Amino acid sequence: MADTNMIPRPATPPQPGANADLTTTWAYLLHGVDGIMTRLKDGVSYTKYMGLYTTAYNYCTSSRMHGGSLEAIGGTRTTGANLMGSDLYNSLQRYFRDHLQSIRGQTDSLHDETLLQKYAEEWNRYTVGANYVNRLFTYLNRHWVKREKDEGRKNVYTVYTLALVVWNEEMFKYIQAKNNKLANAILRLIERQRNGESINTGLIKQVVGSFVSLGLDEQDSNRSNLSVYESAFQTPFLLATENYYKAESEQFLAENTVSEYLKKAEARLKEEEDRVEMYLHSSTRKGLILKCEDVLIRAHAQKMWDDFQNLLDFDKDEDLQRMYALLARIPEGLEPLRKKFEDHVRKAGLAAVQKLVGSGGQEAADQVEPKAYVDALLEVHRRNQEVVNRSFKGEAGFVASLDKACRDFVNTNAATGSNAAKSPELLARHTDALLRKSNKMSEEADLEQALNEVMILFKYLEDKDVFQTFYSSKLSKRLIHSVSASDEAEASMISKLKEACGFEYTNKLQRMFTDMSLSKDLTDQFKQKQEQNHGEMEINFSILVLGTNFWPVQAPKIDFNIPADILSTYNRFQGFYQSKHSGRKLTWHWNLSRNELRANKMNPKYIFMTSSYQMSVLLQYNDNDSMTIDELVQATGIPKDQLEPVMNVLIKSKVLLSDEKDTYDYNPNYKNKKIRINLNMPVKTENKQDTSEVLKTVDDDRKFVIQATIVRVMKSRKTMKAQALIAEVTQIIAARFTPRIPDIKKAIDTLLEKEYIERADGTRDTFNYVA
Amino acid sequence: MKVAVKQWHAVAYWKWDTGATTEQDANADEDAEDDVCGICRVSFEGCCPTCKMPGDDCPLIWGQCTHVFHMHCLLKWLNTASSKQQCPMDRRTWVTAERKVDR
Repeated sequence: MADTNMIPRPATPPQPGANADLTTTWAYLLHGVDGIMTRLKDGVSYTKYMGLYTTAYNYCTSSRMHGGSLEAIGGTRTTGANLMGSDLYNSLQRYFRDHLQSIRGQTDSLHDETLLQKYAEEWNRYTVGANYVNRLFTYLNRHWVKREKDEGRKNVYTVYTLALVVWNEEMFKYIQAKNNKLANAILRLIERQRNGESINTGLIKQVVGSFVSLGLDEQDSNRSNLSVYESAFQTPFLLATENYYKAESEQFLAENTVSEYLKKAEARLKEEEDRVEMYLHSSTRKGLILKCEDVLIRAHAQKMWDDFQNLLDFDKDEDLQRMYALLARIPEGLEPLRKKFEDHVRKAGLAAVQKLVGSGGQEAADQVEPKAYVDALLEVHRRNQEVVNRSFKGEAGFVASLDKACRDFVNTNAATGSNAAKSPELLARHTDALLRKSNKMSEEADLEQALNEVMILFKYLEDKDVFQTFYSSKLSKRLIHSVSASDEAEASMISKLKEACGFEYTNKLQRMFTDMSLSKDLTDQFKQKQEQNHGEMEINFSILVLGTNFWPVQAPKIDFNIPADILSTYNRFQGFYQSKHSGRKLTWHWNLSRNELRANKMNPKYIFMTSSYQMSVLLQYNDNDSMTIDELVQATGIPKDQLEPVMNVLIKSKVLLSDEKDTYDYNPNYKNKKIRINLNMPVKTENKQDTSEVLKTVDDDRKFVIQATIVRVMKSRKTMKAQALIAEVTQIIAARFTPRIPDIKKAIDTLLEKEYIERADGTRDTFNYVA
Repeated sequence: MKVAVKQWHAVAYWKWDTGATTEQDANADEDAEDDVCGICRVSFEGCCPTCKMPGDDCPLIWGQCTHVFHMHCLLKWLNTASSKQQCPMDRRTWVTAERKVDR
């Protein structure tokens, strides 16, 4: 039967009439269909096409009049149209089957590429033809097929789908049955491409495309699925991929370095992504890439992790980038890198400080220059920050590792030992140096940059309150002694601190500036008033009135004898201030105020810049040429222990002479190259003293902060267990410093004593808030 | 030697003059309890809990009973019904006094 059908008919059968029976009709249709399927390139004339279409249509519609004369497939039929449709349908199915059976033999002897070529060629011709045939039988599709489907019959398809189903069964399964010949041919071709040969990718695309088309949803034949593609091709393809790369990667790693392998793996992954793009179905991407990642990355992750330190040590940026990109593909890939990176940074930081301190031990650690220290820390941070940004694309996990490591080595290193306050102190001292007039930063932008760098380290400080205390002490000195480089820089630094730690943190600092400008106004007003009342003043007077509590300076408890030379100015200002702010009183800081003196009898008339203590001493020599220390104490009101350092400076500068112990003489032959001489040198011991004072302040402040925090927490919670309370307080305070648990316990005891809180009845560790 | 003072840059603190210590050494009572507002327990030089900045914006108030408070604190107290217009320290009727600064 197949043979008779397939013989090209020399003569076209005549077009049957409207009521022709199946045999006549099919004979005509068969000739046309076969022509379309096998000799489409010869063309089909319009009349012929119309004739075929009309015949199919006529058969389906006219048959209604025949009534149910034929028994048909599948159960009872009530209308003739159904029966007649099924006749046509069955005939078509038979034709497709016969057609494919007649050509499939040609593939038997073919292999690999030639097989694929033949398959693709036949597939193309078949599908194009089937498409036309499908259109010829539009009427059948729309009515008979649709009704059958609506009634729930499976295995009835539209004509084109029918053609595909038959291809699947007769052609595809036939070839595949021989050891998956078709799929294997593709796999071999792909393998050749992986090995570097160039292949005809279009061919694979066509064949793979046919697999995709052949998949049908069994539930709903209108929809396609990928069942055929997946089972016939994708599964074996993934398996082949896995085997291929497993072998390749193992061999490659055995012969090459990890760096080389990174390049290879990167290239391979890219290749596979392109492969999907080029000729596979996009649904394969996920599975394929996962498989590749598994074989190429996960399987060798340990080796990469092991090599990571090596790359870091030699700063191999490209390799690091590559390793990051590869390991980022697998979820667990980066964590070990982050850990190692953290250790690496920590070690680098500790080593940098160690190098700075040298082997001098504690003494050397104490002598560390703030600038060198800060620069060393910054350098480590900068270098590793770059690595994070460049090699690791600024990935959050690595940023966190960097931060964690920095926090560790910034707070505890060879220079700090176990002294947690050392790092904040050094940083504050460095900042102080930056903001002083003596700092010769050529450009404002440079200074700004330097301040920003300070903030980088500041962020890592654990005890920010220590920094704050040192900073405010340094700031107050800069302001009182007028040695601040620029108001803008100071303001900029404060706004940075505010940004980092909030209003509370910089409140006092900001307040100092307010006092500065208020004092300037006050000085101006006072001067104006004086000029009106008394004419020009002999003494150029200016004052800084500080608000208590904001300035970390203590007034000395001495009974200073105000020299007669300035007494009138002193009294006038007292009166002026009273009238302006009644209800306030002033406490004068003689130890902080300073003067300029002109030596009228000397030639040239030297100008001495002095502290007020020095002034009061020198004024004594207006009337005397020689005085003992006791006389000076008496005359100035400065206690002996504070007076001695003052005298030392004066002796050293040779303004006074001391031939005998405790006796000081005026030096009539004083000479100096400069006219203006600064005698107001800071006393050397100041620094050391400063540090312990600051730390004491910090300790006191902390006690209050802890107590206040406990009260706040208790106020909102009313009742709390000790453990939970300590945890919450620690967490809240951590932004400022790391509180020690014994300190918190002590604070709780204090609050119990002061009856802010009480122990809940019958418990040892539960507290109630006392309103 | 005959030096003359040409310039003087002075530094001083201001404090509220609460009257009680006018005649005494200004530093002697620095840590005394008298230096805090009896209502909010914040030092006079600080400010009442509702203010952010001490200074003329948050002044003190003197009563004839010699008690001194942050003005804001006291006014808030007087505005409550339970105050009965009395000084919170001694329960005498509150009368605002002139500032006890006798110069």
